[in-house]
Amino acid sequence: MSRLTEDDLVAALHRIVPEPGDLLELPAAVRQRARGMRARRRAAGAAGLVALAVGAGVLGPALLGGAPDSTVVPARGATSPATTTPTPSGTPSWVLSTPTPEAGTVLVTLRARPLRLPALAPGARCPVSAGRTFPRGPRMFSARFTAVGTGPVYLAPGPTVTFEFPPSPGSIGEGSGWSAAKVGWVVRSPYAGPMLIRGRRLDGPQELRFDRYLGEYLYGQGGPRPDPDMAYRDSSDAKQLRVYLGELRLRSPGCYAVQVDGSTATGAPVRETIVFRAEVARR
Amino acid sequence: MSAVAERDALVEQAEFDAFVVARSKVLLKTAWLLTGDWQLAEDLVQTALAKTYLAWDRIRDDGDVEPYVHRVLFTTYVTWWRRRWRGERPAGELPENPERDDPYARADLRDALVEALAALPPRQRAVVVLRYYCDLSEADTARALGCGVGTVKSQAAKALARLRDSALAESIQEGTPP
Repeated sequence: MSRLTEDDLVAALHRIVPEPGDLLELPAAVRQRARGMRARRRAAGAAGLVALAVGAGVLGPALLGGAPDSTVVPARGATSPATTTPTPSGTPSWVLSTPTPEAGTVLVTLRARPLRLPALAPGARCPVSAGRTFPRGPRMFSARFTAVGTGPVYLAPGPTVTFEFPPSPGSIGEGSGWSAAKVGWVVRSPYAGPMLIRGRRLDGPQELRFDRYLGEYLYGQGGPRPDPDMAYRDSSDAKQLRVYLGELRLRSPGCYAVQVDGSTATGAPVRETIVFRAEVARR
Repeated sequence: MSAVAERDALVEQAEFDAFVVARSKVLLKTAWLLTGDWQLAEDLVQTALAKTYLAWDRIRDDGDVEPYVHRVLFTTYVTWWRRRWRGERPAGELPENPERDDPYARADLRDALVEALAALPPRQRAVVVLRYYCDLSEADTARALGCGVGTVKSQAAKALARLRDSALAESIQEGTPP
């Protein structure tokens, strides 16, 4: 038995905890998140009232001996559950995939662009994108980090992304068949515009899917939802780098690529391809 | 909004901002000990502070801000843990700050500590962080976690026993300066 004392533990905890980076933007970020929470609570309250009213409408006739109408007519503008458009609740403001008219137009335009990714023979060398090192910064990684890409968008970490496969019991991918790998999409100025990210495996037929960052839906509504693409609204005119957290969802290791489509403020199209290697993490 | 209400709102916002600036680093370090990951720690702190902001009027008048934030931080952490965030494997690197002593020993100790804490059940982990890092009393820890003092004592004892059996104990012995 070791002689670990309470004093040892106190000293160790204070010795190893890293010093956080600059937190100057935190108060504004917190207030923005609080406003989002308040809006979601109001929306949830309103949805509860609607559900109550609908429930009363359906159960009322049944309880009174009448048969409810079995014909369900979708509301005007309602989207099919089969589509990948998420609900606004729990969706951060910078995720573009919200059903607003502006986002809808942008997404339609970007999704209409063809996905042009090369194919590789099985076992061929994976031509991973070149990497570059970025400095630490506020609202970003707390240390220097490497990301791959030619810009304006970079994938971090790169060029190798590790994931656990098969998804272990208790992990977010459990039962779905899709393993998750947390990544950051780094955006460099002067680009500031929408980004649609799609991809697939280059040396095999497997799909590549995308999800919001885990922490983003844990405090919101809904759960993991691997989508065939992911869109971000980057309209910042700030000079510093921005990082949008997200998750890649995979089912096999291999050589993968993503295509990032966007457009500048003048409407000029932007397209970038980022190639990376996906490896199963050693347990 | 009337001029008075507008002024009150600005004062309230300034008070809250001052609190965030003063306490966020400590809260972030606490959250890092709970999650072992900077992004999740930032999310956890932002969420806890946002919930605090929504209740700011009430808790500020009660003078109960600090315990309230701790309580929200830990209840949110436990909720997230129950919703299986533990399946995530952080892909980013842990920050490495300028080291004054042996950087390898400190990195080993940090890895051992993160691993040992991750192996504890969430409540035991929370008790360890609150008691031995935040230096809260048993009564304040109980208040933050919404449990009895007896539970805090038993959870702390169990956590220490588990930590003594982990690689952390060995790392601490090796990393302790003579």
